[in-house]
Order: sequence, then C-alpha cells, then structure tokens
Amino acid sequence: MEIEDREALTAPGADPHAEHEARGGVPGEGRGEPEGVPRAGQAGPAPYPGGLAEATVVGRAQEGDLEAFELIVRRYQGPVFRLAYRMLGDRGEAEDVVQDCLVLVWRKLPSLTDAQAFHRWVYQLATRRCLSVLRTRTRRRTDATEPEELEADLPLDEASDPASLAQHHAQLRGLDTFLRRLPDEQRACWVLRELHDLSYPEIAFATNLPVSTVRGRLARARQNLAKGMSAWR
Amino acid sequence: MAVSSSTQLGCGRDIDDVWATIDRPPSAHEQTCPFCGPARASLLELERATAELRTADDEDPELQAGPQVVARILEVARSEARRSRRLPLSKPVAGEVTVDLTVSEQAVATVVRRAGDRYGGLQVRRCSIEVVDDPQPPEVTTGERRPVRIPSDVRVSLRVSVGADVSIPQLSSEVRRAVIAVVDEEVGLNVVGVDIVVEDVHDV
Repeated sequence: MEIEDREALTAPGADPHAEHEARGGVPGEGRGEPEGVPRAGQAGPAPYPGGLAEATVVGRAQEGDLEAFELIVRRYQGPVFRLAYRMLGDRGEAEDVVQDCLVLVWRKLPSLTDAQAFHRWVYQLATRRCLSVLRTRTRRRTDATEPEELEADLPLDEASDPASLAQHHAQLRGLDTFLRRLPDEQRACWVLRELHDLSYPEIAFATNLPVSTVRGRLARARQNLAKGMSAWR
Repeated sequence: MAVSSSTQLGCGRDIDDVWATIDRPPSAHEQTCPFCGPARASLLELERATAELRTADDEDPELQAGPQVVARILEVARSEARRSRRLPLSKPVAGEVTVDLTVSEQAVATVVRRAGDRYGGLQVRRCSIEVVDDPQPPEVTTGERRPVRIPSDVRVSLRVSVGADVSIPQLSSEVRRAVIAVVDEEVGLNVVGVDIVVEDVHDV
C-alpha cells in the first residue's frame, strides 16, 4: 500500500497556512458562507453510538482502543468514499482511497495533537490522497482525458428510471457531468464545500491552499457549473 | 490581486457577490442588470441541483466502501495494534526475581472506561494507570513461609468530558468510588488514587 508520509506531517497545529486561516474569511457576509456554519437541515457529523463526542472516540483511539477506531471507520468510510467517488469517478479507486486514508489515520493518530481537529484532518488526508491519484493518472496518460471518456466511466442506467423521475435524474446527470469536467482543484474545493459542508478555512487546510485561493476556486467552480448547466438545459 | 479575475461579470460585480446574497430577494441592480440577472438565475438552478445531488449521494447505499474494505482496514489496525505497557498485578516480593503476572494498561483502561460510561453525563477520553512504587517492599510471609500476593498499588488518571448540566464535584466522587471498586473486582489492583481532569464539556 502506498502511503505518503508527508500527508500526515501537516497535522493540525503544524499547518503552514494557519496564518491564512486567521486572516482569511469575511464573516457575516450574506449567507454566512465563509465561516461554513452547517446550513439548516444539514446535519453535522453523524453522532457516534451512545452519544459519544467525536473527541472522546478519537481520544480513545489515540490510546490504541480498537473498538473506538472501528467507530471512526464506520463513521467516516461513507463520507470519504463519496468524496473520493466525486473526485475520481471510479468505485475501485474510491475504495482504495478509503482504505489508504483510514489506515493512515490509525498509524498517525498518536501524532494528532488536537482531537477537536480530527474531522478536518481526515478530510485533509482523503483530499490529498485523491489529488495524488489524479496527478498520477495525468502523468500516466499520454494525452488529456476527453470528457466523453470520463463519462463512460459512470454508465447511467436510463432504462431503469421511471419516467416521472427522468427530469430529476437528467438534472443530476447534468451537474454530475459538469462536475467531472472541472479542473481537479476546483472540483475538490466545490465538493468539500457543497457536498461535505467544510468551512473555507477547513478547505484551505485540506487542500493546503490559502483561504483567498479557495475562495477564488469556489467562485470559478460555481461559475463553470452554473454556465455549463444553463447551456446544457 | 483579483482585479482581472475571470469570475467578474460584465457589470463589474463578481459572481461571488451574487452568490453571497442568493438567499435574499434580488437587489434593485440585480433586477435590471443584464449580467447579474442571468447569473443569479443560473446560480439558483445550480443550488437546487446541488441539494438534489447531495441528498441522492448521501442516501445512495451504493456510495459506500464495501464491507470487505472496512474489514481490511480493521484487520490492518489489529495487526499493527499498539501494545500497551504491562503492569504487575502484585507487589514485588523479597526473594522473587520476576513478576510473572501482569495485565496490560489498555485492558485496565477498558474496564475503567466501561465503568465511566455507566454515568450519564461523563465520557472518559483518556485513561492512564501508573504503578505507585512502594518505598519498602513488604516481606510478608505466612506461617508456612510462603509469600502472599499483595496487589500492586496504582494511580488512575482520567481526562474526561462532562455534560453541561452535571455537578462536577459530585460526579467526581461517585466516579472515584466506582473506579476503585471495579478495578479491584475485575482486575485485582489496588487503586490508591484517581486523578480526574475535566478537559471538555459536551452537549452544550
């Protein structure tokens, strides 16, 4: 299993972009977007059994408690899979990311200094793993992947859709298609923000970019997606 | 920096500005601006599609790692399990060279956590156990001159989180008593002290 050690070396507390976090963000703007407060109707992290706080479960796992680590694996395998699937568009690769990421979590847990930072740390490991897979993929291919080729990765079973749902699915497919056409780092920022509720500073941490760059990538991603979808419709 | 940003609309506003107020009614400018109006409409459409995609992804049972992936991760963790320290169950006895009966610190911690979990409003996060050295190892013998096992003295240190509505002094003394009792019964160690540090408050 290929593990990139440098991924975990920037554990929370040693974040080279911490200063950007402190500076970045314009609070109180419009929908309170920059600080990434979970929006109404969208739950935060799923609770652990028995109402255990995440910091409790993480603290126990840090002491080597395998039961606590299993709770973490069950809590995060779904979100990490969905992130990786939206980034890579391939089930097998997404499962590899889940495995690499969570094994790395186990190995690096003792070096995590702040249990409260666990959530963004997992997203950092997962995001970097995805971007690393994408870089390898680009290097391996002699020419750039055509969007059509990427779409072929995800066959959509049109025949199985009830007619009443056709429009709904068509719309999802539209977003899905344009999402896959975004540049990798734009897609990473957009997926972390819109599908995983990370705040701008958390995304900056996960992608190792200044908050201002994250803001720019998100704006461009939204513009590209919105443009693509209205043209497509 | 962002002056020549490609996210700037024809009217000079940035698409981020339109997005920032997407949940509010359109401003006077947006109602008439030939750039902001369409930008707003397409962002609204994107927002709707995003919510649908998100719900569909979150509810799709296929969008999870297979059970064999979870099993493999846990297998790796087990095979790389961090061995914890061994604690001697008995005090050293004069004339005995080795401590043959030990218990892992982790096993004791598990017993302690389980006891702590029975209290509503308490979550044991960290638990460490230290053997308290006896300045003068006792020389206890029976009439038949066979050494008698004397349980090791240990100090238990807990870092805990408490519920917002609990009385810390009361809970601490209850937990202290429970830890002393359960470690004696289930492990056979003599707890001489329980240090409790409240490091967090949950359910606020």
